[in-house]
Amino acid sequence: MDVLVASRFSKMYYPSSSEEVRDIVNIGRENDFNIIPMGNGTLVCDYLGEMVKPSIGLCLRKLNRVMEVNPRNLTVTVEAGITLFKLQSVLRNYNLWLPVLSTNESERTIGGMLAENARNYEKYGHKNIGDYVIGLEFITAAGLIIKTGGKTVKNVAGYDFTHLLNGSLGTLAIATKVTLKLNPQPEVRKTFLYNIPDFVYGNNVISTISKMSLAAVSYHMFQLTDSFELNYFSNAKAVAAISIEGSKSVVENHLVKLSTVAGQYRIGQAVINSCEYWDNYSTQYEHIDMKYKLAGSVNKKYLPQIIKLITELVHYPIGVFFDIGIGYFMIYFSKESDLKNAEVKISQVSVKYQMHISTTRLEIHPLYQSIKIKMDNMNCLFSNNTIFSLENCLIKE
Amino acid sequence: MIASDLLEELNKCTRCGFCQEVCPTYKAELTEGSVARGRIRLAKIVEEGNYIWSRHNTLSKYINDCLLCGACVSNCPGAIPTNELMIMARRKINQHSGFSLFHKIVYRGALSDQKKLKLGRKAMRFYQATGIRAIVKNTGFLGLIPAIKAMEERMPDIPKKAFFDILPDLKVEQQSPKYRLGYFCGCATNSFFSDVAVSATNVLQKLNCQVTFPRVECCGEPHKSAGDLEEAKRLAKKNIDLFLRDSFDYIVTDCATCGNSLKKYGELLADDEEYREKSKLFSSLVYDLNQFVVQKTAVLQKVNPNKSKQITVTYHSPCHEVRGQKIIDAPRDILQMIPGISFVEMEDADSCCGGAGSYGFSHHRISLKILESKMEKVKATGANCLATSCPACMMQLSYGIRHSELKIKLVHPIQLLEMVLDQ
Amino acid sequence: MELKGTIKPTRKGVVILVRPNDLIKRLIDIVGKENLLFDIIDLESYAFDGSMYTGRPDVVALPENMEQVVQIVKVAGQNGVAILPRGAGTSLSGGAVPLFGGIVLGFSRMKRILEIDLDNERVIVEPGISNLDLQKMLKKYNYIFAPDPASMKVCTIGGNIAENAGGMHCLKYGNTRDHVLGLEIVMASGEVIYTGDLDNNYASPNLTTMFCGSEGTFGIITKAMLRLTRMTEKVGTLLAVFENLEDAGNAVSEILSKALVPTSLEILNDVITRSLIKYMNADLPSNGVATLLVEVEGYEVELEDQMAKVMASFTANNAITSRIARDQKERSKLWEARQGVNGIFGHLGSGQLVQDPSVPVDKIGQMMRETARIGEKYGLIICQTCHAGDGNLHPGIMYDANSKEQYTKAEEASDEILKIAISLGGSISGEHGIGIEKLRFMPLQFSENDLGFMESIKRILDPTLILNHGKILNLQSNI
Repeated sequence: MDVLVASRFSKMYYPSSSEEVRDIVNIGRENDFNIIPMGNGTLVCDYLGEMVKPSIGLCLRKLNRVMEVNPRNLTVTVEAGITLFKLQSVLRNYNLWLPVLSTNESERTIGGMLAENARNYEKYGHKNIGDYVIGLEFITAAGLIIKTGGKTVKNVAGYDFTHLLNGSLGTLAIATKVTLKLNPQPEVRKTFLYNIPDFVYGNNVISTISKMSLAAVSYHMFQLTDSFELNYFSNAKAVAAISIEGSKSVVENHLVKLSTVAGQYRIGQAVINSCEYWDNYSTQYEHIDMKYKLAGSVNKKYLPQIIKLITELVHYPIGVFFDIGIGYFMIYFSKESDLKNAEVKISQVSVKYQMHISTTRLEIHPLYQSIKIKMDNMNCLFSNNTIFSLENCLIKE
Repeated sequence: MIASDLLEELNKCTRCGFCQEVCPTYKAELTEGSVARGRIRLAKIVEEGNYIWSRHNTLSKYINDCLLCGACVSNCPGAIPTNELMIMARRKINQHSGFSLFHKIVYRGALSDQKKLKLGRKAMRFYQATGIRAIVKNTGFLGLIPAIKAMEERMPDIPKKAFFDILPDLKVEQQSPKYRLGYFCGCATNSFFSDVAVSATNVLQKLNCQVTFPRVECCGEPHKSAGDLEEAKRLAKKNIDLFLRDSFDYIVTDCATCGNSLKKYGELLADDEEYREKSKLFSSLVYDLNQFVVQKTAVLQKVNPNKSKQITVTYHSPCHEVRGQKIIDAPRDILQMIPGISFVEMEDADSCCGGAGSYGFSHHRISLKILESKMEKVKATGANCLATSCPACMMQLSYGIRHSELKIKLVHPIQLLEMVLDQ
Repeated sequence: MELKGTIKPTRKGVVILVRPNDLIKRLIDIVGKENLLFDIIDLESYAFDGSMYTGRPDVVALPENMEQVVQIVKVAGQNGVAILPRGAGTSLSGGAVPLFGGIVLGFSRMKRILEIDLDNERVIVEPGISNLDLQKMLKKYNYIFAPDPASMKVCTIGGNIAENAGGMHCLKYGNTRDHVLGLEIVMASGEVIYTGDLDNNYASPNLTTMFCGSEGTFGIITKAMLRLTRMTEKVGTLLAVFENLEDAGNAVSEILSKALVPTSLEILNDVITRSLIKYMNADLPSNGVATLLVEVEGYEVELEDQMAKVMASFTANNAITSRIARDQKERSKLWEARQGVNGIFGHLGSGQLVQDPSVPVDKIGQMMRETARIGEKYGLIICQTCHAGDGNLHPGIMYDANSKEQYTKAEEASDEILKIAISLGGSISGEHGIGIEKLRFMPLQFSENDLGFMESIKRILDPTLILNHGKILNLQSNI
């Protein structure tokens, strides 16, 4: 935990049980503190707004046990403070895995990833981490320990609040235990790479591929610049990467299909194990200076237009990345002026192309407001959250 | 099934709702009372004593709206015979409130008495053939009563002569016939589609059959469908006597409804001491015309390969043929015997056309909705010829063709067959 | 709410004329006379669903668009009248039965496919479309909608979402909620909200999922954006019959341990097997105790191998007979039989109580044994089917509907079965929903705090408790 992070709070707590979490919440509420839950706090500062009232930090990193693994049921129950890395290493022993890949897995906790609705690298084929929650225990602002869902995949008893905290950034309640549905470890996971001259060309290649019957879980493209060194090809401008997984016979067969496409388009090709590929990607990603980042999503229908626009716009980026499968992009700039310039140009078409852009302030959903006001009437859970603060941010009347 | 079993049968319904998938009236109306499950529930609450038959117009409406097409029965996991249950319910309604005016005029009036039917036919022919029809249409008088207007539009073109009037010129004595057949020429074929019976006669005679045409009564199906079992039984007995006087090898009919009705005389009269055995024997001799030609004759040998018909044809399976008699292939086999023909199966070929005997006249609005859906599917095949084996369906489909302005010819398979047989 | 009418004697008897009261008049103004039903017979035809419960509404409205729904809901809210959305009315837990009169909103006339968006692999539909009609449309594009409940021929998407319907293939693909990307919902206040990918303007957490499985008590769905799944290259359906449940269970474990994720694993016990043969002409061998139906999907290159693995598991566990359904016709036949199970009950007893507990997969064997024991204890026939891959079971307790005593016994047996499911770490409902039927079990599965939380959210979304009142939770109100 960053000393810098801890220093922003009056006090940091490190509970090691759900009951302790509840007790801290009660103290916080009774003293009218602002309670900020976090996993390892890797991203919490990104959402910290101005401190209006005294804030206490609730770090769940000690709540990190694996409660139960049920291989036949394909489920695992964990405490929310467990890191993704630790969870995956435990599951490997049972030949299971949670099909979620993210940056900084050794630091990021399950609870934190759920709260942030963290993007899965292979989101196209494996959706997001929130989609795997089938049971949840959480602490409300009122200090109650609530359970929703259960251990069975099919469960419609009562209401389903298992996904309510997904993307809530810790403002509605604090997740303490999570039951996740798992997949068996796939036999093989490979990533196929194409050496593409530019993104427009790359997108054409991907369009061809996505029409094929393929066991693909991710389609993406990225630009190679000085800071983004993935040495799969020499002299490459950009790379298109398709991750596939499944049984040995299927992957072998599909790699051949992908190879044929490389021939068709007369471009270089390479194959690498997916875990190695994503590890490299993750490491590189972390080295990029992320200060000037523009991310967003677009309706896939308009991907070709956006790709063309970004290609034209972006002259001195540190890195550009597209997740074609889900219509998501990230651009890293070295200068703020470049970022602002790109923002303006992209905003002009954002309505037409049905886009979300990370730097745009969004109004808060009226239903969320109603729920937040009733669930947390003292506004003690992360009241200064930059996205969901009812005080600081935009509220639609 | 006897009346007291009704509640027991109704209770077998588990309300799964699968009938919604196939019920034509449900697709037209999209209300619970318009589907088997809803009708069964309504009948149930009456039989349980909460309501009284005939006292609620809505109740009678739903019970009478049922086409009796039997699609629900085929789709029902428990095979609940809803069409039979509806007949029982109609019987109960009749017992409480007597026959409807329509029933009295059309069923017990015209259909129960061949003389009255003949008179009615002549009147309609007169109306059509002379200028009266044009005059009436021009005055817009019909528009005043939509139901009458609809009836007028639905009326097919009445042929100049009824079949029995043509018959004397057709009949041929065979030297050594393969089969001696008794032909059941039903009311609708005789009055409105005599062409079909003419073709049937010619075909059967070419196939070396000695065909006799007893002057039949109505088969009784309309009466039975309205719950008038007494009259249905009376007519059945008369028909049975008529045919059993002679010793026919088989009894053949071109009309799917008649065929279904005749095949079930054995069930209808199972409790009648005098007619139990006779009706069983009678029913065992009955063959649908298409079925007979395909299964009992060497018709393929008689088809002249040079007589080619370059048409695209699709087939509508009448309810009484596909579900009543479980005949699927025979008509299609005949069509595919025609040299040069291209056969296209339409989507939902076995879904009711909405004609259901006289249903089109008594339930014009729903019948038309169902018919429009059927015509869309006919159109989608791109066929220029539509074949079916029931005059009630033919009446409905010919109305559909006029209404949707399709350029498509309507025939009975036997008419196409006639054109390609050797002399 | 009283329906005012006058009695008019006629020659044939008595006819009750209903003079529309104010509420009905307002509703006629909103949807038109042809979309409003208030005759007592019509009301009776909406007084039931797939369960044993009955209850008559005061009026039935069949809206044609969202705007009409909004106006109707506002009228209901202003007059404190209960309101209940209805799809195909095939709920097995009483979800579509009005307990407090009021308005039934039938969605049978709102069934259009509004947009097929293949670029984004999603579709937008009105809630009244049947699951099968949607599948038929998607097939042309080589896609499916993954949730495929047994009643898919008739059940509607709106109903699927409201009940979070499962389906034979949910082991591999998930429940309905895993395939709902966004919703348009009319709230009890008449306000319209958009969630998920239908909402383009707001910062929000996931607000879509909580409406899935809310059984019409949180809001009324008027539009849904659904995730499409690509049609699989090949499907293999296999069947085996075992002499005892133990062997079947072991075969299941073995199949799952081979890292195969079959799309379905169905177990049918002996009573079911025999009934399917008798009433459905199902081509199943009659000498077994447990029938196991397995479906595997995948790419053509791997399917033979997968099927061989499954067959090996059958053989290794003493299957009496095993076969592969290779063509579509055979496959359909096997599945038709399975899907028709609910309907055959009528032949086995005039009354049947079907439950749907779910337990962790490793507890299935124990659950089925306990259930059989309970059947013996109460002297009742219990048919058992089980979605072996996901732990959802369907014990069907048969009884004589004319015998009050038998019905009481059936209820007691049912209670015991559900309690056992909970004790094994399971749930009282895997897919049929709480509805009316399992209200009394909620305190067994959830703590007071849990139920209190559910109530608090319900009261936020529907303060006057007009939406499908009386389902899921026992809440006091003035309705």
